[in-house]
Amino acid sequence: MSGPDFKRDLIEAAVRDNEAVGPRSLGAGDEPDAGPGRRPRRVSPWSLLLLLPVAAAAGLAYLELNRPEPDPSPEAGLDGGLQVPEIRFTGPPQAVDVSVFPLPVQRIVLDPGHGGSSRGTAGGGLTEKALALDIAYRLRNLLDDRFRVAMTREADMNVALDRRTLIANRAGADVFVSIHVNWLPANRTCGVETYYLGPTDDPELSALAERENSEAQGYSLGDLPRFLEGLYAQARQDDSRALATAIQESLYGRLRAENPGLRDRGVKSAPFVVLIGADMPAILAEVSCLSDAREVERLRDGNYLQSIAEALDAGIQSYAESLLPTAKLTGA
Amino acid sequence: MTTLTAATPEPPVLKVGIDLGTSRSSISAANGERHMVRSYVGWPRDMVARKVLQRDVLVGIEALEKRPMLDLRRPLERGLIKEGSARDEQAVREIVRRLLELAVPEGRNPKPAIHAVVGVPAETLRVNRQNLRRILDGQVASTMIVSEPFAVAYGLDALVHTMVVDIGAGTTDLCVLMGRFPTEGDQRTLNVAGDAVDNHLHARIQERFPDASVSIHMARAWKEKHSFVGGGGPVVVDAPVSGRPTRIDITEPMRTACESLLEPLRETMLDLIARVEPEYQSRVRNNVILTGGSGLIRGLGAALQNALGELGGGRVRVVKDPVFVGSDGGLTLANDVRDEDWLRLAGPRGDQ
Repeated sequence: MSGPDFKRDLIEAAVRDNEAVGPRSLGAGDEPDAGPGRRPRRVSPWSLLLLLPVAAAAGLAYLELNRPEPDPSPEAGLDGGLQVPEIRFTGPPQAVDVSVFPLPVQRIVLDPGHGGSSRGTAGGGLTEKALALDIAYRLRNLLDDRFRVAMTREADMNVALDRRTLIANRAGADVFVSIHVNWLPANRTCGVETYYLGPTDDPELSALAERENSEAQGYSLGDLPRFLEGLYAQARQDDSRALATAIQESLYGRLRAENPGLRDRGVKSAPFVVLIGADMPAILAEVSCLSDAREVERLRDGNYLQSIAEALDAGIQSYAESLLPTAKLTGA
Repeated sequence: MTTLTAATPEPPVLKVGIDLGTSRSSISAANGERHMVRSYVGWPRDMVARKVLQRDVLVGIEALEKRPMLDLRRPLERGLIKEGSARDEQAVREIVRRLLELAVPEGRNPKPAIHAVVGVPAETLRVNRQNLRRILDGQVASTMIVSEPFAVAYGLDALVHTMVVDIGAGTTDLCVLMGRFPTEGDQRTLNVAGDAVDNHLHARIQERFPDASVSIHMARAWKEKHSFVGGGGPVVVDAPVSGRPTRIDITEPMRTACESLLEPLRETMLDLIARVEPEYQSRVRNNVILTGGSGLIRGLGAALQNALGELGGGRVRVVKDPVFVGSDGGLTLANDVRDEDWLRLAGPRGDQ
């Protein structure tokens, strides 16, 4: 099997692989196993989260006001065995004089959705996990001249939902941005939408949250009271809503110029598990959707992915700047 | 200007393999030249520095040594060329230029057309190949970019039922070779690699000896000399403590830092093997090749072999001289690529 014919076939494949690298495009061939559909839904205990609004009304009276702080040590994770990797913030090689950038937002954790065996949505040979990582890389490169940036994953690997926010908490992040690509039912116009943590009575949003939460590991039903408390942590929710608004306005405002059919699906709240554990303003952005064939073609174009990253960058910057007056008043 | 067209008299061709690494980059050429440069590039900070250095740009160990006077770049940090950073792209261009200068003796006329196979971290393929091609434009006549583990496997003729684990400074690349060109699903890139061990070691030493003055460069040098996993040591080194040279025992920090590689490596190896068709998993387990500078950590091969016990056992072989294994593999591949394929790869970028 190691004869010249075998090697010639390998070389031919390598040549074709190189030829397929078009100008700034994400080739469909990068995802040979990607199917046209979404991964199958499965019923999990996390569907109970959909009952959060009801449960909250009945149960809030029993909640303790001072929930225990999550243990920041890597050895003592949520289930006693969780190991959190060292976080390396990227950034310019020289120390930045913070007086030049007196922004209260200094550390940002980017969370490319899914990864590893969790493919997320798929369409036209593209997968949500690959797109989210690609956009996150681009966004990191844009942000790291001004902020310290870390990512919850930098490769195609599984990262549990609770681990993602634990990484952000341990890193002392000021902002947590989870990047996803949506899948909408037939006949629904593709758009961008941004979520912050909160209850919802919209069955579609509940279904979306159920899908995104279906791979939740590391939590048990015993964590439900803490989740409920997290949902109604009003101060953080306000900040998260402001962050979501800034990002949504930027996403829609900037992308509509090159994608006139894009719909503004708005800022919404929904009970996403990946946002629950975050101690800082946290949002989940659905930056596109793979259920729309025209959108899939746009997502093949690296320029469009760059535009999405630039829109997210501008949204984060806008949010950071909105905090400036307060920071100056408090002397931060 | 040389152009790969039938109408132009063709220059002589020199085939090369290039390994662009976070810490070191190497070139192996068909004319027998083999060279390594440190992946550092520096530009004089100001006119005074330029006057002292009498150079517009410094590359390699020279740049590292004269860093106080330079805007120093390590452009391949984290295995990626930073997109949108013209300075970092220029730095990579300078590294390639230096490698080619070393491989092509000065004054050779006509200048040969370079046909290059360039190895890069597996994940770089996803985002940065276009950037790399643009950077190579004008320096080489034709380019094939492949993942570094594939180049290593090709050079070692280990293309079937093999796993290559390449632990560099910025990234660890893992790739399963199953007799086909590896796809994304066959490869993984981890950012847990030599640099992460250095940082870990530095932090642990500072924790244990808060009065000791230890730089990251000292920690890196100690790691390169004394690294180990499992049983080993003692590791006793000299460091200034409150200004006085003092012997400090860094055995445990060293062990802890080096063993931080084990869990992500074990997890990723097992994940990749689990994706192999069941009837071939045993062969892959027994044909693991450990390479890269950090692959030389004492006891690491044995520890990974031990981890394979979870799946029924296996065998890990360590490449003893990892500096040129990637570029040598690239050269072997370059020599096997046919002329018509080089023409296809040149495309519109035939200028050199």
